[in-house]
Amino acid sequence: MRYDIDCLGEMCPVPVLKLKEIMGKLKKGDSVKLVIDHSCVLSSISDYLKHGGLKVKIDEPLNGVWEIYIEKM
Amino acid sequence: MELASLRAFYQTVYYKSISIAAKELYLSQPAISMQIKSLEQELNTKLLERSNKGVKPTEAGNIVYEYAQKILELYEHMNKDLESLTNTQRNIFMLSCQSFGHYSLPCSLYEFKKKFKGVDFDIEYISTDNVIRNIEKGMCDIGFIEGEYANEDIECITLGASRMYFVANPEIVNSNILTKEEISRYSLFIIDKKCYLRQIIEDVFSSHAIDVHSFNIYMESSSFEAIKSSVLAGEGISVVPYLSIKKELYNKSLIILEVEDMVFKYHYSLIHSKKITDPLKLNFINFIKGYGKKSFC
Repeated sequence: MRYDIDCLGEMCPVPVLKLKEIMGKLKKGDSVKLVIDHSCVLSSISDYLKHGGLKVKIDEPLNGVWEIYIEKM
Repeated sequence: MELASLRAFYQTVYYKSISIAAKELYLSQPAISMQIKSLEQELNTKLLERSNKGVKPTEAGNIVYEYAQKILELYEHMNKDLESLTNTQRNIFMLSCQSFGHYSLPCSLYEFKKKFKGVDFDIEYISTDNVIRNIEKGMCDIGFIEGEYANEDIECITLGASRMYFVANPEIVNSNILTKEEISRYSLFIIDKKCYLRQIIEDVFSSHAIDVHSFNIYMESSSFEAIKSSVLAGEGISVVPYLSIKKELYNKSLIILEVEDMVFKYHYSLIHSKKITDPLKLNFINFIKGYGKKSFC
């Protein structure tokens, strides 16, 4: 299952809360694509994602916009 | 001088009516009249013209009205500051220009609140000019502006630089690279003259020998959000801050137009009164100076 979370224009702590909600449902092999446009969200999310068992990839397709791909291993 | 009589006079002029002022202040009309009379006696001048149409300030009354507004506002700020001393809930009042305040500021405020529990922010969004004017007048201590400004009473901390771009709905343009001539065929939506960024836009235009008035100016607005929705609808082009259009660029509902070598660059800064002594406000300024600079998104 692939989840998409669009958090463009949303500030802390909204993206982290939305991500936490989805992460609770995540099963092995599921993935999440989260799009954000505030750099502080990036740092708070990186902290949150330090828990093990996740594969995380971060892209910056546009200056100041980040796509975060998270896969549960 | 009694603050109460000043307030009675202020409300009366504000509502152009003694009876409405009386209602607002939960007083009787004769009480209001008495207070105004005592103010007139004390200042030794007539402040109000009374007629059957209502009340009107005299020339002296107009001067007193302007000062009364400032005195009462300062009094209110003093009370707020005092309240927050005894209260664990503290409040920082500040002013901000919209381009910075709406898009960049909220994140650092959130970070600050994480560090300093129980702090609340009271932010008023006004134009850069008005932020400066109010800080000069001592109505507020901290403000965020576009550009830079300092004098003997005001300290300026430059926080960073940002850009504005020409943008359009991709459906109304054939290419994202346009010449000056091509650009002037589109209707232009532009921020109004009260905004500092308007000056930047006009400066860049004139350095490229373009007169703003050669455009068909469709709408001047004080809000970038309003401008954005018109441009999204394909009604024309505009010049807007990058920070305000990230979402639309990502969704490809807007594109950046490159017009020759036109670059709209501006700085944004924190300005504050040099007289601040409140430790919380000083902490906030230091936070913005250090950590905050990084956290502006």
